Amino acid sequence: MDVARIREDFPVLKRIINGHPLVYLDSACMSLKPLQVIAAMREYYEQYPACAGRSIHKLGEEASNAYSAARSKIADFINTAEPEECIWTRNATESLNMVASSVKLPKGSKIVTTTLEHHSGSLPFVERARRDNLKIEIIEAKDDGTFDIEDWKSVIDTNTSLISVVHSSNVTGTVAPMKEIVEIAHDRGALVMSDDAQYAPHHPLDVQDLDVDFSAISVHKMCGPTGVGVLYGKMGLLKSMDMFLVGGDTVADVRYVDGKIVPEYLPPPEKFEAGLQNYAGAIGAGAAADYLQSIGMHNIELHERNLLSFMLKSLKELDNVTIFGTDDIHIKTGLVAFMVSTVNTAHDVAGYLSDSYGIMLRSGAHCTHPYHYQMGIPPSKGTNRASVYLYNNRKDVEAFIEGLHALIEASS
Amino acid sequence: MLGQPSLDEINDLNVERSKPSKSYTQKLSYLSILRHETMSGLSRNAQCVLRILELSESMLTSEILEAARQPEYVDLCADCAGGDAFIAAASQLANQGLITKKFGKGGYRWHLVGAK
Repeated sequence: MDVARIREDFPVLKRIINGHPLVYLDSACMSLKPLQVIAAMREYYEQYPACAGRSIHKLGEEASNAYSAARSKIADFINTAEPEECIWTRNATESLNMVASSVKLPKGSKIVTTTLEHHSGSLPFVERARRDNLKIEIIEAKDDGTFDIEDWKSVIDTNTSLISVVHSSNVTGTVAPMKEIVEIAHDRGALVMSDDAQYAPHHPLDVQDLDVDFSAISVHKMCGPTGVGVLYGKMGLLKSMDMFLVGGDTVADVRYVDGKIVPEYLPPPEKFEAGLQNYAGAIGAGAAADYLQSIGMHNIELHERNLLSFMLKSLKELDNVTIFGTDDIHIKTGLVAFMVSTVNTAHDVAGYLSDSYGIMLRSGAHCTHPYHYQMGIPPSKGTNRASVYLYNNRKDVEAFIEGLHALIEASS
Repeated sequence: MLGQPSLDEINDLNVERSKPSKSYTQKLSYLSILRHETMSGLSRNAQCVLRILELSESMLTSEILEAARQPEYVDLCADCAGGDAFIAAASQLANQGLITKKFGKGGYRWHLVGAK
């Protein structure tokens, strides 16, 4: 993998921030955008900014073709059985809410989730349980972000209807044993909702091989535009789900019979895509999937693991730094959460590294407050998170470690 | 939005004008910022940070976050427990020259402009 050449695709990496070349270590929050994605979206706006699937003219036809192709590209990216199993959403959060709100679950059944979930992976299901008076049980992650598989075996029972689990944690980076979890869940008749917001951009994702029932993806984390997400669902389940939003584009017909309005709805994916869609965003998402696949997800995963090993080794050599999450890089996405004991809050680390070194990383509780409370860390103190992606190199990690050295000295 | 300084705040300031002090200087600065905010449309979190910094000559980041959770600020300071939005707002204020920050022992220390 030619990282130097890849970096040329990302114009923002040419920026100088506070006198330093930009070092971007916040891809777990927002990935940078390559020229190929920007060009694809620009082409839509410049050449065929029309309605897809409804306008019978040349621009409409071009928009329809590009929009349809984008869905196929995403479907190919995660290997769905058919493109129509991919629903466009605004982000993974909306995808998770769509399932939590609309999937049919038996009365009195149980939902299972974990302490490691992003709030977007837990709260929609907490609220669903509250809405329908369902039971909900929480599996506690170990301090290093891994799980004891025996906990899954004991908590998932035949009354369990759905499991919401983060495939790759946005705070510890740990990768859940998804295949085993799916096997246990299906054995007991439960559905599995996989939060792939952090997993899909960094690892090869094959939803058929994993046999998950639903998967949620945020395109902005995988070199695509903001405001675009994907919900994958097995077609049979999507067909049986209640609608999330209704209105234009969701209907085959709306008849007026005997003084009543009688809708006849379309099958998925249109069933879940009410109103005018984010065509440019979807086209950008398709371009992002193409771009990542042209480099190869296995290559990206390997590259990140090399950088991650170097980063973990370097951080461990620093006094005053505590690392969270497993250091087994084979079950870890390319991010490290840590705390620096010489400052009072993680925000000061992020501020100092940006101000003094042009290094961008994340601070706070990363929308995973339960895990921070579990670890005895008040959200306001928070943790820092440095995350790498395909465009990062060893120099980025070296600059980050040098910046941390200076910060510790200045704050001690 | 806070909008213009209230009549009570202006009256308090007029009383203090006859006996200038450090707190008077700070409050004068604060009120000038409040007027400025009406023009520039500062966010609620930015206003929150300004109001908290009025309390002290300087505060550590953690102290600002702690103060923001106190009941007297609940109507103005609305952020998640992580405090991300407060600190982002404080950084914007610093870039606008309305407050200053200095890195040292324990982290950043924030000052209202005009305060020592």
